[in-house]
Amino acid sequence: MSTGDVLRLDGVTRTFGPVTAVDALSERFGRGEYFCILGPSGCGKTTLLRMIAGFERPDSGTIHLHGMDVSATPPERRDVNVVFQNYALFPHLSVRDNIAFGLRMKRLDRREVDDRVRDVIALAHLEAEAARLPRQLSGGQQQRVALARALVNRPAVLLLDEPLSALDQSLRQRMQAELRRIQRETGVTFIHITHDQAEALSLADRIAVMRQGRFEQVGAPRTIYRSPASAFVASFVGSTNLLDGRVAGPGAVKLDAGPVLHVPALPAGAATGAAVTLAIRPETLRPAAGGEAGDGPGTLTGRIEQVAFLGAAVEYRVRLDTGPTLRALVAGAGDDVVGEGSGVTLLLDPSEIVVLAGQAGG
Amino acid sequence: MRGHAGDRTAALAYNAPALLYLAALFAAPMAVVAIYSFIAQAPDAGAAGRLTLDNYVRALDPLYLSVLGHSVALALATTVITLCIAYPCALAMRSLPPRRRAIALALIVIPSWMNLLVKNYAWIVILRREGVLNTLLTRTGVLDAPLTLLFNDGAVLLGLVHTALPFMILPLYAAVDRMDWSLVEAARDLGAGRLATFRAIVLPQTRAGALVGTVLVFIPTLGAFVTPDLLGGTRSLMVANLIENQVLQVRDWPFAAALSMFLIALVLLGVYLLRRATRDTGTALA
Repeated sequence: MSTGDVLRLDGVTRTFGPVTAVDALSERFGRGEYFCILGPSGCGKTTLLRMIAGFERPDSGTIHLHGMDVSATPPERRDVNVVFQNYALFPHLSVRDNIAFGLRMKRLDRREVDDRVRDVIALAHLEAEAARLPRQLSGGQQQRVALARALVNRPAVLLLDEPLSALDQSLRQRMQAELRRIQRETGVTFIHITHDQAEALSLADRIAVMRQGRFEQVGAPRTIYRSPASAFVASFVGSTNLLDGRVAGPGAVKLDAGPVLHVPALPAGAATGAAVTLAIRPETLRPAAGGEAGDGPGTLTGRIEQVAFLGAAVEYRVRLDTGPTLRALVAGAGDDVVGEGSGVTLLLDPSEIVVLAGQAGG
Repeated sequence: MRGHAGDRTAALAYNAPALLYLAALFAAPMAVVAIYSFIAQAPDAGAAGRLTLDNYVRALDPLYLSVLGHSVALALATTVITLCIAYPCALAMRSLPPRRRAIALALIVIPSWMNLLVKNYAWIVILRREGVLNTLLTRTGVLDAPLTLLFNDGAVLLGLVHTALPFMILPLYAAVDRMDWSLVEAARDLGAGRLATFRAIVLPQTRAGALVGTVLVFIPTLGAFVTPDLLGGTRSLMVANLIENQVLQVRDWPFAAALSMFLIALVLLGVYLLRRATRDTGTALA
């Protein structure tokens, strides 16, 4: 997919007083890539985006666009455009004039402006709204105008700052599909920042999970989800059960509160006795009515505290006999529901257990 | 239901003080001026009983029209100059940290409390032949002989701008402060430089404030009296000086009244044009 890097960050750092918003961050972004930066509020993702756009300057480090250092280039002379969180549409200009704004500033000739505006209006399905003012549009339409206004400039990189956060759930899902389609059709590199892990997982070619000014893990959505590199990634992307334990031998971990479990792989350099955290996705746990399965390694026994019907799945909250509480998610309507208060055995698939170095302290 | 009559009586009662105030102190004097403007001037400097349009016909004399035109030109120039100074001021104030913003605001508001006479006399001290400026320039050798800086249109304009500036800066600052500044970032992101951003975004977004400032500056300046009197002398006469002259020196009150009616008509015309301009942009005059 990538034929060389469009954007390269090298050791980019930005501090505000005592706070380091972005901390020596380096990454390469490929041509035509859909890259999501996922992180909680305050992790520095907005500052990073503002530095790529040119609204903030890095204190140190460099930003290369098409191989050229643009660290000190003002936003109006960067081949980068932004879809702002609040859209920032010009209220006194029609949809068409909003979209044409960037091209007019570049002093393109009138015919080319008209052609390109018409094309992008068609791409964003805004034909019927072209003559309206922003305040006459719905939230979804405003979102599409903001996208069209940025894309018409054919930037090397399009930055999207939580573009869907102002929309309701069903519209957000439709717009996700739209974003993906438009990104595919235009082939522009999208860097999309969000705190919504479902959005990042469904849209991105690659995801960076950001925490305290750094990328904690960068990888394909499946990799991030199935092989999280840290307890933070495991719990921020999807929900997960975290259990503390110690390495008991090759391929085995003794839980601090529980039995020895077989695990597929240990973290590099983890010797016997080293503290580790097990990350177990709720959907990989299978509850079975108490006592059916044996008490051998790879099973945990407990009592069901709570059953929650979620529609497409049923969630069980199980307090283990040894103390900790785990969540198990079973797809389907849950006809063979195990009732609250009854004893249960949780069957584990050892290949789905991720072992992380260190203890999360939970 | 008690009906609308009761409501109307109550409304009238609530508004009675304001109505009385306006009737006694605004409508009645205005009516007197209006009536005076139609009365023929008698030779003994009182007013004879005969009704006439002569005063208005006389006011259309090129001599007086030129004073009126001169006043409009000075008021327009003052408005344009204050606009040109106030925009950068307002934008600069907006870019200050909040504490300094308050200080800057105070520095703009406090001088406007100073008495107008004092302000104008200060300019005389600075601008006259043996004044501060001329002394400085001749002593340092920049000039061989002092310049005539007083008693011309330039001096009047300087005084008018000085007096009017706060009334332009304050509404503009309010407009600039209220503006959605993410629009400015959006414009720059789309390739607009600072000047283009100002023209395409800041100007249209702060138009309402600029219009308020224009009204606040243009109307009082058009009727300015003290400043042209002190800084302009006889060389730079404005319509208010003409009216004063007719009232106090010539004692032709009916003619002064007709000139006043002209001035009021001009102001109303100006306000009407501005209102039309604001209605077209969908913004409201505060």
